[in-house]
This record gives sequence, structure tokens and C-alpha cells, in this order.
Amino acid sequence: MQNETIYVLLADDDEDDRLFFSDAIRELKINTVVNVVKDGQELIDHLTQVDVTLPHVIFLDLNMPIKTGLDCLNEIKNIDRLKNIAIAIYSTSASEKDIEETFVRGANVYIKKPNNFSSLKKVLSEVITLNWQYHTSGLNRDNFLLSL
Amino acid sequence: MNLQSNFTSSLFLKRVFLVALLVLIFISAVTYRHILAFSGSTKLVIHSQQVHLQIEQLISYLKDAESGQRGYIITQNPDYLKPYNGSREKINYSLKDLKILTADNLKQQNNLDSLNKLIDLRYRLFNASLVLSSKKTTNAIQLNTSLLKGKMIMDNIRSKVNEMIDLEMVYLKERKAKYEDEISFTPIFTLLLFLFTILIFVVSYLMINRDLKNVKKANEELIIINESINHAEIIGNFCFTQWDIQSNKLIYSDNLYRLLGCEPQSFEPTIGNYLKFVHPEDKHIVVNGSVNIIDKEETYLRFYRIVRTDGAIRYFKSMGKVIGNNKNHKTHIGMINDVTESHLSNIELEKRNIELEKSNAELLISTESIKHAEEIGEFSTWQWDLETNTLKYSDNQYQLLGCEPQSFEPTIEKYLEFVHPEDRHIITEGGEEVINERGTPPAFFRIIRKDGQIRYIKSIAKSLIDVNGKNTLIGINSDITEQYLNSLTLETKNHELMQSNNELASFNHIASHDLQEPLRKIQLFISRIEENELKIMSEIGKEYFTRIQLSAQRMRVLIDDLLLFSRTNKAEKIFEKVDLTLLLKNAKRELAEAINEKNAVIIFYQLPILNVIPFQIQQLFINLMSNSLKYSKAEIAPIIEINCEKITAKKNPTLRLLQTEGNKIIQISNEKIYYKISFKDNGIGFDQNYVENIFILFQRLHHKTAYSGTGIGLAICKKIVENHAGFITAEGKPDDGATFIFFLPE
Repeated sequence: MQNETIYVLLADDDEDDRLFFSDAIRELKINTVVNVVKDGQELIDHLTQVDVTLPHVIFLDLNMPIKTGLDCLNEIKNIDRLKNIAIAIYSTSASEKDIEETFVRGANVYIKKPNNFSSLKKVLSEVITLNWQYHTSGLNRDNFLLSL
Repeated sequence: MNLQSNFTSSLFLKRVFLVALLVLIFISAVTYRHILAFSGSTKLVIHSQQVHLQIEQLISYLKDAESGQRGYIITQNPDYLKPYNGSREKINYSLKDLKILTADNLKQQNNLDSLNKLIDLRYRLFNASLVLSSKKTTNAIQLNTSLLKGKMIMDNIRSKVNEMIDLEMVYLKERKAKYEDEISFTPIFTLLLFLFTILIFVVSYLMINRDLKNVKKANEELIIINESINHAEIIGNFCFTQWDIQSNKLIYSDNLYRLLGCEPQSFEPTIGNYLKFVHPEDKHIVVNGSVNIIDKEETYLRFYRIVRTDGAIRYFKSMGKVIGNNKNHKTHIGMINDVTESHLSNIELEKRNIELEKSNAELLISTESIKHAEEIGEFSTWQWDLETNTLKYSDNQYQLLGCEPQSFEPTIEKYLEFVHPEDRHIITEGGEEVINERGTPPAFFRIIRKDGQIRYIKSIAKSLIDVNGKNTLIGINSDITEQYLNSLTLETKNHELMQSNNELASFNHIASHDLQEPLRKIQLFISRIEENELKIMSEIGKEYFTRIQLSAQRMRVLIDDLLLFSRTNKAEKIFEKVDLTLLLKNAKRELAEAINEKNAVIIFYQLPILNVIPFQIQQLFINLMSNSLKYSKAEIAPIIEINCEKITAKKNPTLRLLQTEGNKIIQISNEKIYYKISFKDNGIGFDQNYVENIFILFQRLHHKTAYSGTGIGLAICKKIVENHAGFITAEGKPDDGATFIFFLPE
């Protein structure tokens, strides 16, 4: 396990999901700092603060009011300072269309929200502990959708 | 024109030559006369000098006689008398000469007569003096008187002679003057006349030269014209004949021979030779004709056939006329024209005419039929002659407008009155387009009938250019009100369908996303409780909890299956050539867990390579295999055997039955090749009576507590097979396994 603190940012409008996410991370016992935002606009506002500590990974829900996850993805990838942050799509649906679009726009991994808590913990642990440097360079369509 | 000018110029030349000739004759005559006059005056001068000389001679004779006499008288020497004796005779000669010389001159004659008398008188005196002197008795006085007398007469003679000489001198002078006159005038006059003549000749030479050039030119033109006529003859298939009736000599132009199929001038041109070519049935036309034409002087026209050397029959038109201005010389000029082509085309035309009449009659019938068809089919026809700008309407065109047939003069303006005001521009703009582009897409517009009813009209027009280049617009107007209204309702229904489709799609979205969302959360909460709280629950609580868990799971399966079903319906159908064996292996891998759990055996053989939607076929395999695994017998390990064979409907009654009663859209063909793939298991089987039901959505043959099916899996199978234009069926017996068979076209 890494000793270094891992900064994680979750953008999700669903309160329950935010709760599950935080619980799961806490139970993982990894040295992690979790920040949570409630929608896309808040996410962008947070990231564009001058003195913000940039997260290592952003977990991005797609179906959000005002600014969807896809909009956020586009914006982030268009800001030089942010475009190298790893993006994990975190969505209920796993439609081909969504997977394809987010992949094309530069997301790093696609997580379908699991149905039980142990799966959730497993998937989060896997994503957080991933060596992103390595993963980004080996970007590939086949292992984009994280299967458990 | 050229010819005319040549003629006039030659006439002019003739006149010039006549004038020149007359001038020459005139010159000759004048010159002759002048020479005559000249020699006459020369003679006269000589004559005057002769007269002069003769008179001098006469005087000299007289003087001789006188001096002789004197000598004798003085000397009495008779020698002196010698000249005197001869003088009288000489004087008489001289007188006679003079008489002749002056015969034309009365004055000189008279002078001569008086001179003659004086001379006679003198001689008498001489004689008297001589006698006196010879008598010896000379009477001096008498002698003296006689001598004196003599001297006086002598003086008279002298004066007379002088008078004569003077007169002659006057004549001479006159004649000399006349002579001089003529001598100076004649050469100038002659010279002038010659010069004039030369001038005339030079002028005429120049004119002749000019005319010669003209004639030469005309000649060349004639040669060209002649050549052109030769060519024209060949091209125009005609020829000329000339027949000198008196000498019975014929001249045929070259083309006549060609028309007969011979070499030009290859036989002697006679009527007999010509008749050899004339068609035996038509010989009389030519023979009778040539007899008749001699008498008549009018143009005739005859038709007959000839047989060419190559055997071809040609139709000749012959015309001609006898010309000749006097009765002795008559020439028959003829022209023969090969009219075979026009004759044959005439025949052809006649034939066509008959055909035309026939088709005209047919047209009449079809026009009548169209009229009926128009009424039944609610369409009409119109014609618009663009050149005369006249319109022609069929009867139904009026009826479509709610009017009596031909009840008004058809014009665009009049028609526009019936057109719905909002649609008039369609007609005016459309018309121009059709004229310019020859055919446009149909125009749609509304008309308001006489009774106020609004009807929808479809008009198709086309520009038709006939053989004469006449441009006519022809058009068909059809009343499509019913179709239009029908299509309107169809459109509305279509719209409704689309709406309900959209609703379905949004329902699908709800099912896929929005329903999943709460379910997922329920399941997550269940898992949280299961992990942390289950152990402190009461036994009943635990059982209820388990039931909640199962219901949630079941709902999860239902939603997933439903999603799958709608995706089968909707998803893009991209066909690829794939090895079905590969797809089967993938399906088996997907089901590995269940297969292992049940210790199932899957037996399969090589499957074909087909053009399919790969993920759907894979889904089909998954569904069929999981179906068999699901409905397996509890105590026996499932065995699934997959078979494949290539068949046609002709050989397979099942397929034939499926083809006929199945999808009506798919064309029935006995020869079409299919792959029959079957999945046979050893499970619980089913009652064959329910075979229809098992492929219907949510239809289940078993209680859901006993078997975990949703009733969607096989419905998806049916959908997939139908997507591939195939058929699916099943055979089974309760407790004796089931076989699912599907047919995929090659």
C-alpha cells in the first residue's frame, strides 16, 4: 500500500451514493482524502480554485443536473492544468453509447456502480491503488470498462 | 446575260466592219477620181503647151516663108524660095494639128478659122508679090503696095497668134492652178482617210479582242455548267436526250447510259436500242409516244419502267418537247428522270396512309376508352400547343372542375380561376419550368370546383416535340383528393406511431436507468445489512430479509432481460461474416460458472461461417444454453448437444411449414439454402401443445418458484432469429428433454 496520501474527488448528485462511496473508502483503510461535490458546476468551480489541491482521481457521475458528467469531462480535458488528472466514470448505466463517448473524450476508466457493498469496496480499492501513470499510457478500449 | 451581251457586241462589230468597208470604198473612189483629175489637168497643161508650141511653129513657118520670099525678091535667087514653097504645106499640117488640138475649144477654133483666113490671104499676097517681082517689069509701086499689104496682114496674123497664145496662156494658167490645187489636196485627204480607217481597225481589233475574252470566259463557264449538269444528272438521276427529227439522229447524255446500268456511250443512241431496255409491258408507251411527239409541240409527260442491265426494274419519268422555228428543222428535247425512289416511297406513303387510317380508327377507340378511363380513374388530359398558345382539354378536365364538358374555351387564365388562390403560383411557375426543362416532378395544387368543393389535383406535364419540331405540352391531371385525405390520416397515424415509439424508448430508458437506480440502492442497502446487521436479527427477520433479497435479485434479472430484449429490437444491425463456432465458444465461456455448477456437458460440432449480427447470435446461444441449464433435471447432469446441417425447404417439412405459416414477408422458396442448428438437451422437456407459447414474452410453462426463468429469454431468441430472416421452433416431451431448432439462411 502507498504511504502517500491519495486525494480523491467524487462528483455525484445522489446523496446515497455519496454516502456509500465515503463509507467504502473509509472501510478500505487506505491513506485517502475524499472530497465530495454535488454536481458538475460545483466540480468545475472546485477545481478552478487557485489554491486547491488537485486530486489524483476524479470519480465522475454522468447523470447530473445542470452540468452532466460528459460536459465536465470535456471542460476538464480542455484546461491544461487539469487535463492530466485521472478520470473514473462512475455511473449506473453501462450503455455502449456512454462507454464509447467517455472513452473517446479521454476518461481513463469506466465503473458501473455495483449492486452490493463488497463489490463497491473492491472496485474502489482497485481504482484508487492503480498506478495511473502506467494506466494512462496504456490506454485501451478493451480494459476501459472495469469488470470485476 | 453574258450570252446576250456577246450577241449585241457581234452585231456592233458587223456594223463597224461595214462602216470601215464603206470608208475604204469611198477612199478608193475619191483617190481614183483625184488621180483621174490629176492626170487630166496634166494632159491639159501639156495640151496648152502643145497648142502654144504649134502656134509658135506656125509663126515660125510664116516667118520662114516671108524671109524666103524677101530673099528671092531681093536676090532673085530661087534657092530662097525653097522654104517658101514648103511652108504652105507645113503650115497646113500645123493648122490641121491645131484644129485637132483645139477641137474642144470653140473660141480657139474661131481664132484658128480667122487665122486660117488671114494665112490664106497672106499666101495670096505672097503669090501676088512673087508674080509681081518675077515679071521683071517690076512695078515698084505695085510691089510696094503688095508688100505693105503683106506686112499688114502679117501684123494681123501676129496679133491673131498673140491673141491665141494669150488665150492659151490663160488656159494654162487656170489649169496649172487647178493642177497645183489638186496636187496639194489629194495626199492629205488620202492620208487622213487612211488614218481614220486604221483607227477604226484598231478599235475593232480591241473590241474583237475584248469580245474574244468574254467569249472565252463564257466558254469556260459553259464547260463548268456542262460539268455541273453532268454531275446534277448523276445526283438527280436524270438525263437529257436530243433527237433531230429530220436526220433521225439521237444524242443521249452520259447519264442515260448510267441510268440504264451501262457505260456512257456504250451503244449507239437509237430508239431501237433504247427500247431494248424498256420493260416489255411498257414498250407501247415509248413507241406510241415517239410517234406522237413529232406532231405536237407541247410538253408531254410519261411514266414507264425499264429493266437495267443488272436486272433491276426502275421507274422512269420522261418529258420532252419538240422545238424548232421552221418546219424543216425540228429537234425533240427530252428529259428522263429515274423516279424509282420517289415512286417506291409513294407506294410506301400510300401504305402508311392506309396504316394511318387504321391506327386513326384505333385511336378513336382508345380515345373513347380513355374518356371512360378518365371518368372512372378521376383523371383528365390536356394539351397545350406552345406555338399557337392554344389549350385542349379532355371532357373529364371539365368534369373534374364540376363543369359540363367543353362548356368554356380552355385557357390558362380560365383554369387559374378554378385554382385555389394560394396555389395559383404553382401553376404559373410550374408551367415555365416544364417549358424550359421538358418534364418536371408532378405539381400538387387545390382547385375549387364550381360547386365550391375543394379538390386536390396532381398534375404531371411533359414537353413533347413532334417530328415537325412542334412543341406541345401534354399533361395529366388527376383528382387525388381521396388519396390525399387517406395519406393525411396515414400521416397522422404514422405520427402517432412515432410518438408511441418514442414513448417506448423513453420507457426503455426508465427501465434501464431510472428503475435500476433505486433497485441498485436497495441491493446495496441489503448488502450493508447482510454484512453488519444480519447476525443480530431474529430468525423470522432473517427469513423475511432473505425473501427481500431474492425479490430484489429477481427484479434485477427482469430488468436486465427486458433491457436485453429491447436492445435486440432496437440496436443497430451490423452484419458481419463470422464463424458461429467462435460465437458458441464465447457463449460457453460466459456461462462457465453455471455450467460448472451443474456439471453440464456441452457437445458441439463445427458450425458454419455466416453473415450475422455477432453479438445477437452469441446472445442466442447463451439464452438457449442457459435455458437448457435452467430447466435441467435436478438429479441428472445436463447434456446439451448442438448440431448443424445444410438443408433446403424442399427437403425439410418443418422448415416448409415454418416458411408458409411464419413470417409472411419472407419470400417462400423451396430452393433457398438454410442452416438448421439444433440444441438438444436432456432436461425436463415440455408439452408439445405449448410450443407456440414458449417464445412469447413473459409466457412461462413453469411456476417461478420452481424455475428461475423470466419468460423473456426465448422471446429474445425468436426476435434474434427473425432479425436474421430465419425461423425458430422447439420439440419436446414432458420429462424427456427438449430440442430447440432454428434455421438461418445461407
